[in-house]
Amino acid sequence: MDDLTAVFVSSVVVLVFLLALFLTTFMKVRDLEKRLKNV
Amino acid sequence: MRISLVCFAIGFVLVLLAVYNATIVLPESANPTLKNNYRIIFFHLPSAITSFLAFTTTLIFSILYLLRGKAEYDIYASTSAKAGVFLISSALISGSVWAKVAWGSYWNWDPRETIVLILWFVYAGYFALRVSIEDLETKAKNSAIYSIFGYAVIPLSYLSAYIGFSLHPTTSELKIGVDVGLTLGMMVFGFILLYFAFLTLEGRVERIILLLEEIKEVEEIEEIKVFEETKKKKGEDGSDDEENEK
Repeated sequence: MDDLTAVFVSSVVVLVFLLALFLTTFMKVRDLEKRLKNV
Repeated sequence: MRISLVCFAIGFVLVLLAVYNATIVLPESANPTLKNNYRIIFFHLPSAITSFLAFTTTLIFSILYLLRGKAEYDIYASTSAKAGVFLISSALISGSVWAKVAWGSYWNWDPRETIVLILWFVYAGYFALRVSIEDLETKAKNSAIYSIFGYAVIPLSYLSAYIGFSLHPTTSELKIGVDVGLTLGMMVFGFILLYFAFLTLEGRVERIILLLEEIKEVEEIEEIKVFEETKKKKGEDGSDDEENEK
């Protein structure tokens, strides 16, 4: 693997991590909204 | 919620495409010292631009908080500052990698480098201030005033590249071709969308948590009131019983 492919792959890994973080926060918001409705 | 999801989806695709263009499609630089290292600009510039946008949003929400006093303005101001600090850190790190290649050292005490470092400390101080105050209103008020004064570093950091001995290129000195400009534009737009998605989503989380805490506090106060009333009644009943026994 040359340097540029390595940079590309690591950037994609960072983006996938960002996606996972976003989805987790999104699920957290949905969960909190449900809790708020039940109060 | 939906806005943040749409912004994230478009931003994610744009950044992914721009990363592919920046690392695989675009050719090497003609400049012998830069070669492939010029590609750092695709990460450095969008981080810096989006961080300035984030700090400007913090300023706007801080002013709005001082004018109207709504807690949600404070939440959006601090959430935006969080994103700004993360982005300015990534601009500082990528900038020093660029400096090593172009100027020979990771840190040169260049006016731009130094003022951006000061900017980083100013916003680190913003969070230190927030953590040190417990009362929500005082915290919001003090940090809003602090962020308005702290914002003065932003125009200074932009103008620092125009100081005569600065090594950092100004925007007018940058000569960017169509392909590079297009990829850079995609990256900047993608970063801004990702920032906006973070701001709306994290802001919503903080607002709901604040609302749940307020409800919990009200419930606790009511429980204490009920407890005290029943205690009073029991006390009165107890004294009546004693009088009857007498």
